[in-house]
Amino acid sequence: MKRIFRTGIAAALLVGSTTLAHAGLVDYTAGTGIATSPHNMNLYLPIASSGTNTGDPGHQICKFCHTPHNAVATGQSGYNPLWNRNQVTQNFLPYNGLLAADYMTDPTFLEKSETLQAVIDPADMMDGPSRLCMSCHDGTTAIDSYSDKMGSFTPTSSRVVLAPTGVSPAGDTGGNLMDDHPIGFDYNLVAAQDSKIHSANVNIGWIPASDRKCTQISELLYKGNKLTCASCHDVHNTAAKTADKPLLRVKAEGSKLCLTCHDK
Amino acid sequence: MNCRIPCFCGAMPRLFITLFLLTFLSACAAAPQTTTIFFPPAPDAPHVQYLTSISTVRDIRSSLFAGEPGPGEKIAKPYGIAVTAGKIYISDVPFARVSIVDLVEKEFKQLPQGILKTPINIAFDEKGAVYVADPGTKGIVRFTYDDQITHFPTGEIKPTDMAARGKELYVVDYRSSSIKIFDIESGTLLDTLGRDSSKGEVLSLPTNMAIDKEGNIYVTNLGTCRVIKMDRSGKLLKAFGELGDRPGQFTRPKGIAVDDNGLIYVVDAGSQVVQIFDQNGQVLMFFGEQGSKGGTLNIPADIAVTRENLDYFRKFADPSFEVEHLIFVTNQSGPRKISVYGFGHTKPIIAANKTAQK
Repeated sequence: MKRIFRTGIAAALLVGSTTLAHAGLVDYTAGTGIATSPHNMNLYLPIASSGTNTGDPGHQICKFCHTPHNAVATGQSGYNPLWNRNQVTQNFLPYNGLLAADYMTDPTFLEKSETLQAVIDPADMMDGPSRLCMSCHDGTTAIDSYSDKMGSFTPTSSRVVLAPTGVSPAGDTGGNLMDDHPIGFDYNLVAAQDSKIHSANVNIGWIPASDRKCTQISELLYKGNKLTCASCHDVHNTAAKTADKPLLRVKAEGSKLCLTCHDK
Repeated sequence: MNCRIPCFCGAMPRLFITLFLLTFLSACAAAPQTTTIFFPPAPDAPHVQYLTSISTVRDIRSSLFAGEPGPGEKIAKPYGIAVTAGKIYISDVPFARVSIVDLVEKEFKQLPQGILKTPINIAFDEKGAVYVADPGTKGIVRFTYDDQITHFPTGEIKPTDMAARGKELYVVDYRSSSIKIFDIESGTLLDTLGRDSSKGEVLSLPTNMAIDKEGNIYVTNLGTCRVIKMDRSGKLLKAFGELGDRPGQFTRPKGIAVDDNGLIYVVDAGSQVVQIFDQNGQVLMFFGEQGSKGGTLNIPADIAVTRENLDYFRKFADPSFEVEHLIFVTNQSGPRKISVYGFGHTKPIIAANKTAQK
């Protein structure tokens, strides 16, 4: 099996005091940084453990998602897979999409959406940041961390899982993101075929600058072309960058977020 | 697969010949895949083989009878999986339903719908009742064998997984990072485990659990990226794992299972592998990983280890590989919803021949 070494992103951000750990998850302020946002797991842990777990001992934030890359430690007891002796020098590849070589040799998964003029490959639609999001927003960790129900632990709808179509009125298909919340497609391909989609490489002049924290659509795309969860969501609640709740890059009011791409 | 088409004499009406041809050709078309995917890959001795996947009813029917799957005959985004009486139960989160894959009748069914909101994991008790952890209704829904549906009285919790043992129901409460043990009949809370640091490491954002045949409890913890094994009293017996990208480490530990030999299987949704550990917490191997090919995993969630339906799935195994039990893993994304693996060993006579050839 072809494997690739990849240097992970080491996490190093140290957060302040433990009092922070008891801040609520609901009342965060858009654009104030990740430390006070719902994506700081150190805020989540005490709530989920009635205060007895104060989170990561060093209160590191990044490492929950930017997995520490640990060096190979041959001979270290417990960390050498006894039955995979020929792969003990390998690390796992978290959060990456599939290998291009795999995709090219087995393109049978290609499916074409009826409404979207792009091809979404279900095998790699979670490519890039999306996979990272969906490994928590799957119904356990963050089943209700969606919209205004952030951290409430009281989901009220089957649609709150960041997925997909839910029970469609027609009772058909569903289950992938193709129907109503598409991700994982080549934006430039869509823009080229659909006149109602803005080009990715022009300045977004049609949305007031004060309502968005981006200049061009291309900034929002993974590797310059793929639309992901992070295209619309500023998951880091970047200081002075997040435009709106819930962690949005463009204000939702007046459907400005939609109209950033859709020329309608 | 060797496919023989019988020779018919000319008196046979053409229609029947066509039908027969269709039947046999279809059988050939539905033949098990020929590419053999072993874990670990050669030259290491194989312990796990990827066998097949199940995403719609077409995956369990021969192509002759397989039409377009109906609304209830496909899996959208599965999380939990459990097997009982030969049937595979799968929670399909966006559809808010639990689907039942019946390999004998070759059909998909559902538990009664309209009750569950966000079904996550599934468990069974000795009387055949099905329990579904449903954070959407803030509790557990019980479907008894005689079609009674009740909300198991857990109080305000966020249940993510359960296991029944004897007269007790063990529930993972994500909200309080604990295991709550209820009387399975009365619903009385008997015990809360995993919060007493004097008994060992406390739980931290637990999502999934398993029970071994001795009654010990295994829990995956997202907060600490550790697997914690404790006894019925909550005493820590073993804890292993840490955050990281090396074998033996976790990024998003989710589903967990323990087989009869005590091997511990841990699903990681982040690195998209299943790692197998012994009782000392020593990692033995891993399988899955990213990619589009068969055998890979795609945001995997839960796992079930079973000896049921062995005969059904053995036809997918390599002739040299003896499947001892099956491993089912749910994929929350990608084209394969349920990946089916066989755990086993190379058949002795073949292994002996290989040694002789060397």
